[in-house]
Amino acid sequence: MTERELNGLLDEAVPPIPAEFADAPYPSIRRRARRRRTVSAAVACGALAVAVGVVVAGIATTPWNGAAPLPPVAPASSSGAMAPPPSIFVYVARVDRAGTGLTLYVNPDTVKCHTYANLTPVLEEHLDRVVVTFTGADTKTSCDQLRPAVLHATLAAPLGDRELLDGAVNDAPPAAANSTIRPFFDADLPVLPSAWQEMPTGVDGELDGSWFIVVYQDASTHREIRIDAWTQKQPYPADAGEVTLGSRTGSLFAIGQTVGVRWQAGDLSYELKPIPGEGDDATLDNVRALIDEFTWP
Amino acid sequence: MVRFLPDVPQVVATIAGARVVECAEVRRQVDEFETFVAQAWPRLLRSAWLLTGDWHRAEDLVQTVLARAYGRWSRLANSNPEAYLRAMLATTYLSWWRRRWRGEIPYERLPEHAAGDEHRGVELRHTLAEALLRLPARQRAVLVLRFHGDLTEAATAQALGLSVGTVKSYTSRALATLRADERLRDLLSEEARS
Repeated sequence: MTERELNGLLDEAVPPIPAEFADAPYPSIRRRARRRRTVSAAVACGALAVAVGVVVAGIATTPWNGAAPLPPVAPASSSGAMAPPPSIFVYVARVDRAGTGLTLYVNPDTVKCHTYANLTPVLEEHLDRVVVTFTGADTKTSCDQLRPAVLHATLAAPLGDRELLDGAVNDAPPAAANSTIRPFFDADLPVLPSAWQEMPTGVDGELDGSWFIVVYQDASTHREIRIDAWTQKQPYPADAGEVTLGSRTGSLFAIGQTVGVRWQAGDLSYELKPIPGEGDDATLDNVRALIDEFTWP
Repeated sequence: MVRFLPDVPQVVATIAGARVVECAEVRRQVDEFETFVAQAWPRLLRSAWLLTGDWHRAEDLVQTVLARAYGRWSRLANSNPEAYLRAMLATTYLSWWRRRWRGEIPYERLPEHAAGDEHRGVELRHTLAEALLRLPARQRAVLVLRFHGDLTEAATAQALGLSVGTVKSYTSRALATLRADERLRDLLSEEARS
């Protein structure tokens, strides 16, 4: 096979585009672009910004649907009377096992090289939803060191099945579908023995809200695992049998040198994989041993 | 008009005037962007499939890149946006892969088997695709940019932050791997004979 032959072959290797992917999904692209806040010219042009789907500012403070709001939860530490940034967006929300602790990941502004690490979340709790807004100001940082800000907040009552809404895009009723933050729940994850500690994931750049990852390390043996979570069911085959994970059934997989177990919790998909040490390969036996070592919900 | 901005009495009128200009300009850019996307979407999606081996991830990748390009369109439109976007596809894909956020899984078989597809080259296509998807991510990205995106070695190197020598080395190794695939070799020989 020559380089010239490869030129034509590569194009032949691609199967026909399925009908569902045939057209560019403009609304979704615009929504993503809006979240990136990079349409700086449009931001200066209010009327058109709405026309192209770029919603500016508009942090909601007025409840709708007639349900009386619970009083906003006072932030743990106030940053004073600074005006909030015009609009920021939560990409990933993680709910702790108690259901009341929220960890919110907010992408940086990659155009201005600003982070939102000094913001304080404000939670407006309703019976059927929780609206997240922020106070404080963004912070200039090095463009080489942009990271999602990790912010914490505490709910007055467990989130339960209440919707979590991004206040920056919920300035008008009814809540648009794309303003709902799909939270990941720690309660879906196994309980690990105390030697296992969650490791910083060192996220670079930005998140898109469709998946999340946690990494744990056993301090005594230096074993590591990663757990990926997705808001969409993952289409990959489970080819190595099923296994009981507490109240759920998991699917073992072994594809090449990648082994692990997947499970569904509601409409979220999870996948646990051992991270082999350098020069090692993880095996299905490693996965089974880990499953036995952990306590599953 | 902008030169009057520091002059406070004229700021309001100037800003209002500038807004009108910006609105028309942004409208034009949005139209231009959507026209470009309509034409380039299938090509970009196919490149993304070669990187990811999965239509859902391919669409996710192209959307991510287009969302980034949307805000930079005024700068991209006057250059070669498709080449730039192809490079962005590769670098974004590699950044996902490097961070292992996407949980990339090597494929033993493709999800989309062409059951019922009677095209003569379908087996070759699948075998080649599977061989490509088994290549290391960087080698695959180099091949996609060089031979699907038609970027030069120098442009590929620049896009991926590699030296030209590394691009050559990756290309050579990837081709050697593909040539060593017996099934692919047999199918290519059959194809050549027919």
